[in-house]
Amino acid sequence: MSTEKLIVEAFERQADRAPDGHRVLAALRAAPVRPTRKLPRTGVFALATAAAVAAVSVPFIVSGNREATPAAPPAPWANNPRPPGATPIDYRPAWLPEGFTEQRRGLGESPGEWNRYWRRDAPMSCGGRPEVVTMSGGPMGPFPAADSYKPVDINGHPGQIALGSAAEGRDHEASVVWWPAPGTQLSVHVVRVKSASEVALTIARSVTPDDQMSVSAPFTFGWLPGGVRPGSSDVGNLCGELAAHHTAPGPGKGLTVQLVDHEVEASAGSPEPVTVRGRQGTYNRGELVVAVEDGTWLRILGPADKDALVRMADSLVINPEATRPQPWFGTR
Amino acid sequence: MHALAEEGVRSVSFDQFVTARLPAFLRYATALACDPHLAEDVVQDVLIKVQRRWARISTLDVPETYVRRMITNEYLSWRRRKSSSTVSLPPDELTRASYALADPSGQYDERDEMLARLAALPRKQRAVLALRYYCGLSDVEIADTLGCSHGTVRGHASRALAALRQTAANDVTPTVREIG
Repeated sequence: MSTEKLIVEAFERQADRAPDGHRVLAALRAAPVRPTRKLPRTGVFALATAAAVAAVSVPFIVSGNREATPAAPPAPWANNPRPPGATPIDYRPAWLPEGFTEQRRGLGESPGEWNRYWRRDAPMSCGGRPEVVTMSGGPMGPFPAADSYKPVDINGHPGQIALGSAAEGRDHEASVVWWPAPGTQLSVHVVRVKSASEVALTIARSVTPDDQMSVSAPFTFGWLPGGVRPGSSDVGNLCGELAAHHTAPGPGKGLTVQLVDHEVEASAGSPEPVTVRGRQGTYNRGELVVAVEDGTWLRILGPADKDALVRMADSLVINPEATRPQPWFGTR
Repeated sequence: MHALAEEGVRSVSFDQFVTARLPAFLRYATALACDPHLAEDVVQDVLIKVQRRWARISTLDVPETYVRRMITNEYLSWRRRKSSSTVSLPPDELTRASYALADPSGQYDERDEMLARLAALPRKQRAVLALRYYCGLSDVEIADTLGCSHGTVRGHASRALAALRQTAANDVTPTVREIG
């Protein structure tokens, strides 16, 4: 290998050891900011503070017929690594291939289910066919189908590994599932990564207990259309999306609730102005959009009529803990 | 190459800027300083200054480039302040000792060896190499970042590369020499 290439890879390896930014964010929060004459004060946590106040006092329209009382939002993030109400992430990989950084964390449909998502790419790059590593955990899930998985040992614990089908163009894909403790199932899934099975096993065998990480649900639902229940959710920052929650369907399709950091362009058609959460929003063919706090936008879309989406949006509580800047984003 | 992403100009708040850029700044500073803790201190001090001046910095064409310059120069001046007031193991010694432990796979390979050699370089030579090989900047852009001439940049780079190659040659094992 040439000296120049070695230098590049050495710097990359050193950069992979970068800290996660918790301390820097805490210092920014504590640092005094002299107000300027040109712009209003915008500290790092101004968004979260405003959202927390709004969520506690619920100044928006709350329907008297809502089906459930929104849960009180978690306390503002301080130095507590696991905020109240957050789902613990009890395990973390101690090794990942070079160049992978964490982009999203999420919750599954069942209580206690969590997942983490890394990709080898520039942090704000969107689309394409990235190399991806995901890790999931939670209560015991169904055993993998016997004919698709082979037994493996993960640090003395039973596990199973399945490889992607080359015939289906998934030969750089592998999944490892194992049970590190009674009632706990973990899985690692690698996509488009060379030597996928070796990489997946190395990641799995590097996994170690953690007592600090967590993930919070970005939204708490008040009223939901009939038969629809809260499903999975994600937080992070991918292509401008800060958080998203997908409801699980009852008799029909589910709905998607998103919080994004950019103005949502109106879909084709004739957007109809509506009042949502005390603000002017728009409704257009199953899509409801409204600006919320400090440059973020709420978007709800799915097969429901305008009144249903407005009622859902009005009773929705945005969790400031899940939608503030995430210190783990872009780190390993 | 890993130049901090150069996006089109749009109005962003400081918290949005930090959300998007903090991981990249920490990665660059860690590569530059060869010390994650020092990198964190440098980035923290810089971003506190940036927060105070955000009204002006946010109007620049590419704020990221300006902040990267601040991080680079903060690090270069930081070393001068710290070296006169602290007594500790030389950073390159600590770094060499830690590399074998840092890799969970237990393989202290040629990349770690190169990293140890980079850590032993004088700070400005390493800064030039980090800007060239980690950030992918041209020598003209490096000169602008460091506030020096293009010729000075080339001089630092040349001496650094010569030192890295010489160190590699000196690391050849006696067994290889005997065979040669």
